[in-house]
Amino acid sequence: MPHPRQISAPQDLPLVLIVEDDPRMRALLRSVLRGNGFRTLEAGNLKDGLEFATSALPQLIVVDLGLPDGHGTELVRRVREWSSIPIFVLSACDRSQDKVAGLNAGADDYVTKPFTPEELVARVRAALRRMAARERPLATAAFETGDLRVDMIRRIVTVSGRRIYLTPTEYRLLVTLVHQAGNVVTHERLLSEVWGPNKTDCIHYAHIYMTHLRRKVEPDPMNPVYLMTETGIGYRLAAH
Amino acid sequence: MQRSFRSQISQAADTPKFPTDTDTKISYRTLVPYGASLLATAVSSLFAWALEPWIALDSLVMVYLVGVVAIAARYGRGPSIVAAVASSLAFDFFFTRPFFSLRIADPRLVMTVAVMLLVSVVISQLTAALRDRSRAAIEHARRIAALYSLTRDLARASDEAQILDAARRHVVRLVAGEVEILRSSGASESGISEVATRLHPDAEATVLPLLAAGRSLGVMLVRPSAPGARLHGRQARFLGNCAKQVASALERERLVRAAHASERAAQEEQLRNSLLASVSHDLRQPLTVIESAATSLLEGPAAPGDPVYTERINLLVSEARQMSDTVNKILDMTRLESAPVQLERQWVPIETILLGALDRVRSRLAGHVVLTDIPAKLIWTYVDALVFEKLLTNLLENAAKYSKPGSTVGISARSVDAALEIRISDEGDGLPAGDLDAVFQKFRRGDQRNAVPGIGLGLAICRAVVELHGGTITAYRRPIAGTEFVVRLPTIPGAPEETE
Repeated sequence: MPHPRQISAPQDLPLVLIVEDDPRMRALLRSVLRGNGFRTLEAGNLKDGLEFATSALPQLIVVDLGLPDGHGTELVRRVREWSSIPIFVLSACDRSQDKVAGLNAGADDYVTKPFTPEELVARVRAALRRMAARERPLATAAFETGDLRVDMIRRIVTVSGRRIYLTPTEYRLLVTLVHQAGNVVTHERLLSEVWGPNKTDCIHYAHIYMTHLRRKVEPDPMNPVYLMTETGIGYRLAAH
Repeated sequence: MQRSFRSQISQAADTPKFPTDTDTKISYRTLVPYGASLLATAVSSLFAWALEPWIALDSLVMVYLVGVVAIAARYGRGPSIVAAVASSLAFDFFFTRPFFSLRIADPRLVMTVAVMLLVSVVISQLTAALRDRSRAAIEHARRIAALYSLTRDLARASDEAQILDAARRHVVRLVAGEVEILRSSGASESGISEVATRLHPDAEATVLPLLAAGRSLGVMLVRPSAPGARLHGRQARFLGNCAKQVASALERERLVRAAHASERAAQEEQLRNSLLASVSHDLRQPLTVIESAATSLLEGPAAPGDPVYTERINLLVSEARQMSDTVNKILDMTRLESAPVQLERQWVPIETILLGALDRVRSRLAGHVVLTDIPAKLIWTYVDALVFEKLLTNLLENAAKYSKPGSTVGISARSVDAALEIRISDEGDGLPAGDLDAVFQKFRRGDQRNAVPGIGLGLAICRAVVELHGGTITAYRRPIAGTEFVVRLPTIPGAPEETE
């Protein structure tokens, strides 16, 4: 069995497991993540990836979808059976079905190759922040990004201090995005959380209510800064 | 010597329209006219017997003459002479005293019978000659018509199979028997004849060479189905004419095919050259820059924080992006051209796709003023959202690339006459004079000397995407400056309602 590569680093830094067969891509991810204050652990195939996920207990997993011994979605599904740690899927561009499959299997976000380091780090941080917040329930009572504030106890949404009045559906939609702030939420997941699991075919609901929400929340709806569209995949609430 | 033969055999289905001449053999068919002559004589005798009580003996001769004329008109010379002689004998036998004897008691009646024989022979020969001439004229007209319809069908035929089919159909209709066409490629005429003889040892088959411009294109084999039957002179000449027509049709088809092939080859060659030129320019150029910038960083004195260092790093990034963009465009184009493209169409508001596209080109449009004009009521489109986003991204990138920072990029979408109309405009230098449609061709760029990098596939991709969705894309020169691209998509019924 290959030994996990791990550098000596302060044990309180978050550990990211990289499951990727291309050594160059692995090296790039390693240098970007280490340069931004993470520890890394690498696996070159699905089997080792699953092994390390259980033995090393990483805080986050980045998994490539095309692995030599299987599909990355398989790892997402297996890890989701026992853990809710953030998982990012890594895929070549233009394979939206793959990304959606990975996301619907329970992944938290996707990264398209080639990626920009800032984007990757921002998304990893957002995911880790959410995980940390889950352990302190009171911290999740209010969410802030930029000038947008969502008070989930009093159900009050404000933009730059100005109160925004949302319908119950619009509010549920916004809260679903808030729960995944910084990471993408697929159409399927939005539909099942807002309208119920039997409405996952009605993607147009998501489009309609997102448009309404955007027009109410965004200062300039045609130049959104909070509610971002990921064509063919879903929506993302930008976490600033 | 290598030969290739393809043969097709057709069998005449219906009875022959052209009778074939016989040789020495006497068949059942040839006896029929003579039987008919005797039958006609018998019938005339019966009529004459029935009429005898009322009309004079001399006039009974006329009854026989009618029969002779009928036989002459129907069966020609030989049978009509038989009918004339038989009629004279029958008249003599039945109607002159003594009855039932060839002797004639009344000497005046000897004269009558002799004149009757003479007249009936003359009439029969005149009638037969008339019949032959009219037959010949009809046959000639039929051959002309047949040749005409063959020529017409050959002219209509668009490929070799159709030409051969038309030829076989027409020739079979005119000749009772089998028609076989052997095509050769490069075989000499004698070679074909030799093979034809080997394939068909019975020498009865007529071999007609298919010759055009001195080249042998094959042979047409015609075999009459009746054993012993042979093609007579006129038919052989007619078949010769048919063979000439078929040969020239085959030659014409070959030339057309050759012309098409060379045209296609030239187009492919040109496309290959453009691709090669574009790839070598758009990939090698940035690669050279990257290599030298990276080497200078590795060897040079510049350190992080140094403006030279930052400048070179920026150069590395922008050139790498340029390369990646080029490769992506080539991949997109290849994917859109590899049939069949599977579109995942779904109902999406155009606004949603546009926002996705704007997000993708955000950094590139950062220096421009972006004006969007989209109605508050959602406009639903039934498209493959990702593919359609690519179209809008390419158009927006194009607008950003060919206009100066600070200028305005306009985007509008509206429903016009059962169609969705998307307009993307810029205030750039505009398209060069000439055909506006040419900008959508692959590897075509507005101005070839333009310093703006790009492979010239963006708009070709746009057109491919729009056409896959059943729409159109048009480029316009704006009145003062700049370019406007208009995408029109036909409205498809069934858009979702804005209700939960």
